[in-house]
Amino acid sequence: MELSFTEDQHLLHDSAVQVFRRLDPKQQVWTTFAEMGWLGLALDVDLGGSGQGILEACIVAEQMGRAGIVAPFATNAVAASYVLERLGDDQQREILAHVADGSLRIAFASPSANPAGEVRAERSADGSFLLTGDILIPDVAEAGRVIVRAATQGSVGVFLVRIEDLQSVLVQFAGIDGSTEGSVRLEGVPADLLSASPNASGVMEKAADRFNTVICAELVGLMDDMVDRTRNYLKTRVQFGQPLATKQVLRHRVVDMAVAVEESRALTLRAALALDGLADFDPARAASGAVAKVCAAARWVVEDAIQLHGAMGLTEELGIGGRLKRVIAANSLTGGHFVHLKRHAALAG
Amino acid sequence: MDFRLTAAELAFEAEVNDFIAQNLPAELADAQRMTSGVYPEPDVYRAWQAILDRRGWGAPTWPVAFGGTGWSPIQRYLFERSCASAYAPFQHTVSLRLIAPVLMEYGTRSQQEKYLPRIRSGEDYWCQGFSEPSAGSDLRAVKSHLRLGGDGYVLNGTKIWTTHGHLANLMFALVRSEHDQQAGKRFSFIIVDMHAPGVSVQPIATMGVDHDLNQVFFDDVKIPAENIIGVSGDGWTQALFLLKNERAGSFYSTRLRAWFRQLSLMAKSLEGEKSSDEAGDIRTRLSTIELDLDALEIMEVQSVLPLAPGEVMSEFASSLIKLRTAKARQAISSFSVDVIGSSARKWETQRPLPTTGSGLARDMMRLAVPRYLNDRAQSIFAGTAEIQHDIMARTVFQEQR
Repeated sequence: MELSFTEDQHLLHDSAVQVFRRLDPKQQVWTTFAEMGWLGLALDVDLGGSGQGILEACIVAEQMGRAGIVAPFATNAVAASYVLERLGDDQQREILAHVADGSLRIAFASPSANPAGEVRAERSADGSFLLTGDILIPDVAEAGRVIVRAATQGSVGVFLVRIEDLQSVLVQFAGIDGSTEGSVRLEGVPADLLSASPNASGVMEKAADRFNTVICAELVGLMDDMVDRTRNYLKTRVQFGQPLATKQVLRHRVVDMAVAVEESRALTLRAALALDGLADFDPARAASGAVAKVCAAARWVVEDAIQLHGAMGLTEELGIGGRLKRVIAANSLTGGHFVHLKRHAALAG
Repeated sequence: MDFRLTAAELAFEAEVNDFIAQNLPAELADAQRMTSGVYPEPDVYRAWQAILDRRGWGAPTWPVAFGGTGWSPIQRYLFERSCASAYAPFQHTVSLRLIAPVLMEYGTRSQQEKYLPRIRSGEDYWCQGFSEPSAGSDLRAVKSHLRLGGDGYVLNGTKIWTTHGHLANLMFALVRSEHDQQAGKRFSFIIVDMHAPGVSVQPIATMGVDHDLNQVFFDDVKIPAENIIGVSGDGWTQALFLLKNERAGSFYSTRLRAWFRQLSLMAKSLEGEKSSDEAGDIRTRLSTIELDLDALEIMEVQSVLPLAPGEVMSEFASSLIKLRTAKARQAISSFSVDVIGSSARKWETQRPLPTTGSGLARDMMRLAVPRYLNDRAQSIFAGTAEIQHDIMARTVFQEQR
């Protein structure tokens, strides 16, 4: 048992800290990720990646969250490579090299709220598949492909769809966290089958656990930044002739925020270790446990950061609101802390 | 990073488990399991301590030079985890982990030779004399005082909240030195024989019924010179060392894990009496508590594993673990009270509670209320939750002491 970073993990951590310190969030984010090799971090070495784990992805994501950068890192570097590696054939996997070098982004469709819009795949006369139904596509802006789950005869298939095949039906709208989301009514859109085997759903679920854990790591960094900023503000803001940082009631609240960061980091680490096969406990349960804790904690930690900044906390200038918006988006993308608490309970041995 | 055990660690764990399986008498495990107060009865502690000592495992945290095991942090963790799962009686923190390191660091050779072996064998049972009626969180306000008299010293004053003071034969105490009042030299760290003339112990009745707490009175108690630890007047040094040393890590999360398993078992056994909605709610509440334990376990192991011998974890980590341990334990006992329904109204006053022989779940139901009431103390003793917050705030606000 060893719970300290390896030397490589230390180096990765340090370089992530450096990179995010000077990264301009309005430019070169994705290019930088690619140059650093982070987009191929969890990808198999044979496929052009560096074959590392969720733990390493979490190290990068935490610094990304701390810097307040919103980018589909978890989707591409973790979830998409996991799904294509396991479900794709050799040719389909080839595109992962482009994911790793940053030239191709992959998005994941999420079901729309319309129950009648469930996605179905029909086989056309020439043997190819056509999809029908309603989907949402988070982070669609730069995506070249989207992974879609669809019901086929008697089973569930996982498909790869080209974004250019959606152009005529894609409606883009602004996401709460600054990303662009797509809404699509599929009416016979051609799709490339990755797999309709019985384990396809399981792979999608495992990909979601990986994605969720990396999102948790991002939120840990985001929360940690909130603690730093709130502390710094209380140290400089003078009221009644004294810095607010001298008030015990305020000090204790910031401590509670810091405690939430430590617990969130611990549960995220626990999930990452399980997913990487470095611990004996159930990875699915550990991942849900992380979401249950972290998404709930992130919400109140940012709420408290706003509260402790007073009216300044509400302003666009300070940008804390942007963090709260990201927390809302992250909670929704993972399925939400409450759903995962119930899943954690249901998976109890 | 790797949370799995290596082959050597697995072998060590198996050795510990084998030893426990063969040497822990069922009645001692039952007694620990039925303990609703802070520590089991000294008879229970002593019996297990003697068994461990015979195996050479009496002092898992001590260096080999003093008859300890010299175990690495991971070995200590595995040992504690196995002991906790088997409900082995608690080893006595006050004796083994509070006073013993002070004796090793500051005691004279003859003090070490006299006291350390008797701690290891379980023969001596110490209590802690820090708090006083007007000195709780503010330890510097102690008033009990030592003056020169006879061929040594004379002690007067009182100590309060003394856990198991009525059962201990020795006390270590921080007191004022009247004879030595230059700046910064106002305290002495002394050993008090609890059976010496002039020492009297009064029980303090608490809501949980368990007799844990006492007030101890000193009325012209003779303290021989050899009962001063370190230099007379310099006792604050030992007090700080002791408080700092508490930060070596106790792996208390392993005990909480065992209690949580009891709680889950009890909740499961009661599911038949609940609606499916209620049962679902109970399972999510259990998950909330379990996640706090999972986090605590990682934080504790991560803080303790890298420590070199004699090294202690950061002030922040120590307070974090203390705070969350108390919270988690209180969450377990508080939820137990919710789950047991009408049984929460039944009031049993015999301590320790006898086992009924009708299974773990039944026993846990009877323990729920006493434990819940006693567990209020978890966030008060050894530094209240508020003091822990103050300590952590110094780190969070990046202040120098």
